[in-house]
Amino acid sequence: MSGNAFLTKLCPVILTIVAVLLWTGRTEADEPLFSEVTTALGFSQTVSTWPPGTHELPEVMGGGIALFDYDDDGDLDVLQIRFPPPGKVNSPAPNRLFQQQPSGMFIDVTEAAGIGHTGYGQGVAVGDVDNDGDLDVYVTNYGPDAFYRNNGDGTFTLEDIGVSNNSWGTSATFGDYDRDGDLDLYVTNYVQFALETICRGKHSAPDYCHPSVFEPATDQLFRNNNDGTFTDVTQQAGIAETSGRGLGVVCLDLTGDGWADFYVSNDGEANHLWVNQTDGTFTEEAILRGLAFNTYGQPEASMGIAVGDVNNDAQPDLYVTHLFGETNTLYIASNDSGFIDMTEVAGFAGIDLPFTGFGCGFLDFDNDADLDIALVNGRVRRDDILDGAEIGEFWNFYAEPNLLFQNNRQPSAISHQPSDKERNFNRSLFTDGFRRFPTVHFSDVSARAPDFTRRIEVSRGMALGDIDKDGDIDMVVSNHDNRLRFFRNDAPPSEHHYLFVRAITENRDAYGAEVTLQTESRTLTGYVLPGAGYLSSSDPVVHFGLGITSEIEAIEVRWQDGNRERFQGTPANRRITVSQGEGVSF
Amino acid sequence: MKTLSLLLLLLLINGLASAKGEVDIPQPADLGLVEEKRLLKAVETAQKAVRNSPDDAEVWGQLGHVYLSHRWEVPAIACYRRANTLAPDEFRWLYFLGRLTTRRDPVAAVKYLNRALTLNDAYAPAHLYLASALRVSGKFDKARQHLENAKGLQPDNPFSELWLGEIAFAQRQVELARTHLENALRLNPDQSEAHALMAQIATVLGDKETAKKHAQAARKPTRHNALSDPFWWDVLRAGVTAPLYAERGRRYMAKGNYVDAVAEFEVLISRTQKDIDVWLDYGVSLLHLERYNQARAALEHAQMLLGSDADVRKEKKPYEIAYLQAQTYNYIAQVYYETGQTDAAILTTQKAIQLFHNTVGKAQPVDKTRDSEYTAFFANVHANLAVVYEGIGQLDQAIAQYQKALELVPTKSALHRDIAGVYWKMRRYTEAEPHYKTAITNGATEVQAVYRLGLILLRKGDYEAAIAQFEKVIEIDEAHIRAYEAVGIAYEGLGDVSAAIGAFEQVLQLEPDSKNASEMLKKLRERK
Repeated sequence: MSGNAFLTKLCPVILTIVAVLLWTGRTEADEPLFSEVTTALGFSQTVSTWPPGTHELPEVMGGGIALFDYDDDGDLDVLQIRFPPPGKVNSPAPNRLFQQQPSGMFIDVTEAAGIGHTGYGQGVAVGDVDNDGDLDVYVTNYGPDAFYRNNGDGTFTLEDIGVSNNSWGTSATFGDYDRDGDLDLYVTNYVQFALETICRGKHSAPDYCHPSVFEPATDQLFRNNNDGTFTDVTQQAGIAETSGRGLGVVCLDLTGDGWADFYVSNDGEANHLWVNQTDGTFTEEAILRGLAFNTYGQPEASMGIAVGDVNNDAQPDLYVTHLFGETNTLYIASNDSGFIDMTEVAGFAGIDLPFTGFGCGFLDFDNDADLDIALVNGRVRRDDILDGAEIGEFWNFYAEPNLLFQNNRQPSAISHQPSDKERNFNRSLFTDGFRRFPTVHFSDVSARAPDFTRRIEVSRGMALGDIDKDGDIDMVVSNHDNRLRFFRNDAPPSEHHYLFVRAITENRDAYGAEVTLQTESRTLTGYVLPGAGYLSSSDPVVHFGLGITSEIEAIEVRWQDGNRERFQGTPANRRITVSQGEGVSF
Repeated sequence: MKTLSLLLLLLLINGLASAKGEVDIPQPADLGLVEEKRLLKAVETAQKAVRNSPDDAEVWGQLGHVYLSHRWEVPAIACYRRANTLAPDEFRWLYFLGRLTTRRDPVAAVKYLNRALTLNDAYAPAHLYLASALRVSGKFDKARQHLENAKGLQPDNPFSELWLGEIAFAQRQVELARTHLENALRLNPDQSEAHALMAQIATVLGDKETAKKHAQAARKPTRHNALSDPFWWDVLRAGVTAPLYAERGRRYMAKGNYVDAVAEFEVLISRTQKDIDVWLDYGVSLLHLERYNQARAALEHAQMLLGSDADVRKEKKPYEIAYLQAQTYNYIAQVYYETGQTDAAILTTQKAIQLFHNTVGKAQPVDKTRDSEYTAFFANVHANLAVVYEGIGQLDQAIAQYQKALELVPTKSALHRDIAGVYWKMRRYTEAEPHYKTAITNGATEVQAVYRLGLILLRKGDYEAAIAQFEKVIEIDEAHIRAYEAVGIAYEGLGDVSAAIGAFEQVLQLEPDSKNASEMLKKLRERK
């Protein structure tokens, strides 16, 4: 038998052995972490070819997504904020509301619900502004924004309640900054833009303008009058003092004094931290508290914001997405000096440097009791085409893959221990600072979520929530062409437990409340914070991955008004509701 | 049509070459969008050279330069990689590979730059880029080592101290961070990155006032001093698009090489050129070369565009237009002054000042980040006008202009020195004295200013203070005979005859024929 013939005979045997080895060698780690289920949920994948861009900036900035239970039937519905195709500014592109059916499929109920606003859609905020138990909607537009009151019967009414904003609104968020029991509204505005402005990029070819070409716009703050109407308090609150090219906003106590602050991500300039002075006014302290720039002291093109306690020290940390060539920045809260940019030591290793990040969120996708990060990417300036981009001759230049990072709680690269001299130099920083400054480490697990990360597209908004009610967090993403993509979480090992906590105050979700779980082994902190990410609004219910912990000893809530209550423990793997006034104050 | 033909030819040649399997040349994906013939030609020429000599690392490197200078980074990387394969021991290709991948693939950048430094560890920018890639990867200690190396090689490079401070702060070594950042601010007081971290450090230390001061400074964009990177010039030189000519021109200007600057700008100068900065820089370069007529023509063209060209005006905010117009008037005035047309110089400078008061000055709340630039510029314009008035003997007017300049930048020592000079001319010594003092306190070290202050003090009979000033003069200029004489007179005034004799003896040593010194010595010795 010749050598070749021998090999030919042996080949099937070898292949069989390899196949068996591969099959038996498969582990849970080989299963994709997320699967795209857009079609299975009833969404059409056939989107007519999106026209080439016309280089008008708003066409590459939208649009947002809201994931919320608008009809209070116990499952999450989706509001998609849409915008017209390039070159067709005046053709209406109504927003769409998709209602989740008991089967898990979605149907378009826009018309019946009366929420199909036809403005040039950008972002969305969701909140119960009248404390009547249902969720109202605020839509930002390039052009006048719109407020929709939820009638409680599955329909909405477009109303003028004093929250008019005619600038280019981007992200918006509700929060009770004055602790008077109702939700106020903060709207970020981007730039003073005129549609006919076209810029040139590489080699003088037309491209989208850098935002610095335009004057920054002033954000707006509206105080809820407690009667269903709002007053514009931008001037008296001090927000008008500094303008910025705002794209993202969160409302949460970031200074530890129990009062809600506003953190705004600005494009290409210092971010703003509006610190609540507790008298209805704010002062801007981002530089002083380490949230204006990156660790290099440089302003970045900030887009989306994620908030969560990534290092389990009971303090909210922040993650801000940025442009190509800039890292997405992880700001870790420090007891004594505000926030520290820990991006470089958190294991990202510049993986995100070549991409332009927009929507982002902390989520414990594997329910292992620490927060992971998902982010979606897509350029705003033309650059080399990446392999696999197939979204049209024009848009391929803007397409990028998404990324997924897993928190693996390995020790970070920080090894420095303070010298005696340094301890003396600032005892408070170094005696407490290091002990209470747990570090965090992430690994790039994008390859394990190919449906989410291998498509080369232009993505913008992202919202998070347990869409299929199976105990883990799923994702929905919007693209530059008004396309939605749904990603089902298939990650958590079966032995990992979870708990969903809905915190209620005054008949509504307690935005800004801090929820802490005490378990035998650890303390976990989460925040009622739907308004985060980029232009989007996620499920306000707080999700906790618990790892192998199956029993919660106690639940503590620090409510937005500063009061604290303790609630009794619960077994894991369920959804519970805690209401202010029903716990034990402490 | 020509452009299209050229592009088709380029694509055809590449297609044929690939079909033959000759040379696989990396192509920019958006080459088809390029309309500039010069650029297409440059690409064609560089590609042709590669096709002719596919085993020559230099031609691959040159094609990489052409791509990189026109921001096609991905194909540039491919070219440098090929050059590196052909010439593995050539520092440049590894350096460019490392530099280009710092922001795309830091792990690869570390590999390339480490290898580059084994070939040439004396190239400071390579240490800096390596430090940058190491930082992004969280390898602080190694990054620190390369920053120290870069500092040793190029002590005034704008990044070593800053980044060392940033790394120290990231590692919570606050004291060390502060030291480095203070050094960084000494090199460039306007580095906003350093101010931002100093604000945080001051906050940590509870020093709210200092924190606020640094936070305010951090809001202004940094103008970094250029990093000396000779190999980068190779890339810049490969550029054939307008921004690259302009950049090269400005770099030549910064070096004081106006001949080459003019050569670069001239490529861009045509009736259709609407880039105001190009016209201004071209005009200023010509001014430096004393080609006054051409300078004036260029500057007047800029003025015309700013005043009436709809495209130019549409792209800029009103206060930006006004600021550019003011700059243009200022330089035109300088042309008038240099050519002896003082009346025209005065009128034109006054127009620039008017623009500031009517437009730019009022825009400062809108654009706070540039207020120091605006005020510095307009202080300069007032000072220029003062010089013109001084030149034609209108000294009161000159003083008025200097005072206006000082209202804008009260601590600028040169202005204090110059206004004192006018007072001196007018023999208004009492008014000159505080300005000379401020000038000297703020760093003016010109002998004339110090000497004159000494004389003013001598006139007042403040002999000891006068002697102190004259001694400073002698420290700077050991052969300053008049200073020794003045010291002698001051000692005489103090009644210290021996010291006075010593001073005049010094004068005689330096100027043996000095009648004044001989007479003074005779008189003093008689008194003794």
